[in-house]
Amino acid sequence: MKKYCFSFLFLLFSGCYLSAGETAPPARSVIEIWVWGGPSQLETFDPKPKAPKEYNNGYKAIPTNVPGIEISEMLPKLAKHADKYSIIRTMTHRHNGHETASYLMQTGREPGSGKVFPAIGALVAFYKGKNYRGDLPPYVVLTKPKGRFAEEGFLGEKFKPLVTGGNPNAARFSVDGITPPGNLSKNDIAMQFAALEKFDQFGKNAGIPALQQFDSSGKEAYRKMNGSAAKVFDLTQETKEMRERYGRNEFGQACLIARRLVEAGVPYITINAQGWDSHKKHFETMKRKTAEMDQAVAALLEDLAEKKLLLTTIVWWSGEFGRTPKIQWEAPWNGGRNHYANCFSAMIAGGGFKGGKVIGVSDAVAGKVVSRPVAPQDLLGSILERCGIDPDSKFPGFTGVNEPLLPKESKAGRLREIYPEKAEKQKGKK
Amino acid sequence: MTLYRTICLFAAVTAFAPLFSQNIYQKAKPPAEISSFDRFLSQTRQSVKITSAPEASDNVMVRRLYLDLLGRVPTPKEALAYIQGKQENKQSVLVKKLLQTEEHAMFMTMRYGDELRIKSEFPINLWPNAAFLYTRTIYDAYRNNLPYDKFASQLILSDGSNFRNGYANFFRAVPKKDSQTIADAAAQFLFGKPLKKLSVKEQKEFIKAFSGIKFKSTREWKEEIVYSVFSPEKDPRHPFMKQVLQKNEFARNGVLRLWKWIFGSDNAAPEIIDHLTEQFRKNNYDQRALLSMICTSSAYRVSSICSGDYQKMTRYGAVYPVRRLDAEVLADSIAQITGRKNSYSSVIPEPFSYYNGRAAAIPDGSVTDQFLLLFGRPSRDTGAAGERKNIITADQRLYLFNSSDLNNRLNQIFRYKLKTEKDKLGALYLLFYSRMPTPAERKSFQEMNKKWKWRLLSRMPWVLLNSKEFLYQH
Repeated sequence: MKKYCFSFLFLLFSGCYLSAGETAPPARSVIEIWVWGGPSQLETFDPKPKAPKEYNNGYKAIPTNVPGIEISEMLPKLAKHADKYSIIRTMTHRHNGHETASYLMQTGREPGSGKVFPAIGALVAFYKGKNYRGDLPPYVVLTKPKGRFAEEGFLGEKFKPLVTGGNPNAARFSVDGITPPGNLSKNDIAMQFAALEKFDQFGKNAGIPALQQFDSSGKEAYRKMNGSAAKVFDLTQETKEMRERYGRNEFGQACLIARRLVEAGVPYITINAQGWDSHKKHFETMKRKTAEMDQAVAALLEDLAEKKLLLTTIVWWSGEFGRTPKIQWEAPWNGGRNHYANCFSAMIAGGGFKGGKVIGVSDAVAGKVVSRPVAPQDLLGSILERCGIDPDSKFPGFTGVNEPLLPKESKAGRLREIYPEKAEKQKGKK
Repeated sequence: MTLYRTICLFAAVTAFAPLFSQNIYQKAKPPAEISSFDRFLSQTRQSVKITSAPEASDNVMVRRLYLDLLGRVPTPKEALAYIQGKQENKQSVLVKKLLQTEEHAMFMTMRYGDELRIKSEFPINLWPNAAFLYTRTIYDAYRNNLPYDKFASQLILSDGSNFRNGYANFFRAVPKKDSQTIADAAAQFLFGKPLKKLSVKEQKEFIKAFSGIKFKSTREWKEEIVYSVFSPEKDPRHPFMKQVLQKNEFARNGVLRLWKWIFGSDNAAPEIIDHLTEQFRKNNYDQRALLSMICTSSAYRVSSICSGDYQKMTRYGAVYPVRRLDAEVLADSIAQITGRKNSYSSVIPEPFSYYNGRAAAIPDGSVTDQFLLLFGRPSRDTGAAGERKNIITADQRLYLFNSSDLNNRLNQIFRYKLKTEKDKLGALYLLFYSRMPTPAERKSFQEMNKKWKWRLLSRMPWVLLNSKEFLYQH
């Protein structure tokens, strides 16, 4: 009941904001839940309980708190928050290999152009980073790198994400490069820096050009490790209840860190949820993975809404593709699903995007798009647009790049049906 | 134990000789002239009124040679063997020895791999089998000392299956397969500049040379046959390559490339490169002979510390340019010091590729880890020299300060390598710096150790790792 109260308050709040005569403000931050490997649409947001058993293996759909919308029984907690997010059931592209599909879903570009385009995270960091003054880089990845390609593309080193490493569920989340290793006392840390100062005598005052950056980079590093940046990763500052709410596992605690990063103003955060490439033992994998996913994402949406951060924070959830509707029972798969990009699901919430909607209709087995296909650039373009970045504008000042941020939207277009009212109207006038 | 014995022996031998008392980094005088190239260098410096910095000390020299030629710091044993060596010509003996090693061939293969864009995935799509074969082919060529002109011809004139003939991957390690793109890659490799920087006439010649290159797939997954639509007699690549080999620019680029790999930049006076180019042609494009000439020269034997215009002195080989260790070299040196091997993987493409061992020996640019990315290993997207980043950043410093993985490794030094050592401080200095601590350093250590309740030794690996003397090639 309490939860509903909060979401009601949130709706009231956002309603007030809009009725004040403004369009919804651009989103400040984006949390990307990258469901790496390709999550099955059937066991998440596009269940097909009426399909034959060789498609659904007997798994059912459950109603959500939005009348008419059903999702998989594997996501019972998210079912209680369907008013906060919209479901896209008709994501579609043509790449069934992880590498090409990831590149496409992350950059909106067909691979093979000869240029490495930046991923959406690097793009948002590039634009939002201009007005961002935090100690942390504008793009943070929890906890392992996506690594399918250079995410910063031709934008360069500066827009490479900070990849935290470490385990947020450990007693102390040690973020490589931000906080000292867990087993060192304050005394040890003070001592080692004092000793470095004393013993590091090579080339002192010799005017060697290559050494000039050494001192300045060291000072900057020292300031960062002792500044506010390090505190963001300190989960002991959260209550025990809050940590439990997200689930005491790596993914759950990464979601909690993501919320703290949003509070710190970081423009783009990716949570790299690995292990969804369920070629074999699909259903065992899904049961395990969806339980963690369900709890953590539901907690994240609820928590952001309670803290009035959901209106300015986009949360999107997708893999590089979905999985084959028909279960492969033959050896060597023995109950697996393969890569499938023709029709798969994504989820998007916050940042002014309307909740409680379903975009697109898939066929009886979630294998084909029946209506309203959504191309990768449509989804990414919508996110950019809600961040106040024009996806049709050109890359500024990169030699040899005379192209817009994203390719032209598809015929069905960006997700305007879930843009906030005023913004939608404005777009309509155009 | 052996290490300890060596150190004891070393200590006994040097007990009365003030080994590091003068200067641990340099000798008293500039390097002596020992070759005709040295005489040429002296004359050139005189003509621009530059005096050379003093000669580098033995401990600096042994570290430098292992880093530049093998891509890692020397082991304590290797360092001591050199420092204690009594031969007059021990420097050139070591250069010759290192140039013959497999490790050296491997390290040069990495450098070539960067330039030839050897990676299995995006934007170069070699696929792991071909990346491995291509790397192996270059390694064999270098190991067998295939002359540089022959090597270049093999690449430019190759055809056949990318899985059977490694050289044929020259035409596949490009982002696009049209003759313009291939010509650009060839111009980059042969003359060291992009196609658009050549004269209009040359541009046309380049494009025409590759106008017949085509590709066809086979029944083996991802295999491709590179072929020319022209018969071998009419293939325009042959007259083209003949012409290229005649040009001084071709040999000069081969020299400049090796100079860059040894000194970290191509900031060299043109007359020095011209002189070496002449020698290179005379020696039938023998790359190892050229490297030997460079690494035994006064330009190489000189210290990295000087007073005077650093850039200008670098240009004339009057000072050895200091720069941060390359990402792979740093990773391999840390692995050697801590005794824990690195393992690398590529998440693309499936099936995933794994590589355990030297970072410099990874045969595929798509196989990597966070450390190599952070420290600026080239992405091998374009093959341009600028892809490798040797600047030091706050993020790198933060990593070195705080990485828990690194910290675990540093602690392992005590658990394994130094378990039975008596002089742990000395052993640590040898591991990281290839030298023993000076009496002044030992004294400072004792004082500080006492002040911090004898905990300092446990953090000394961290201190040495984070210092300039370790992180920089000097």
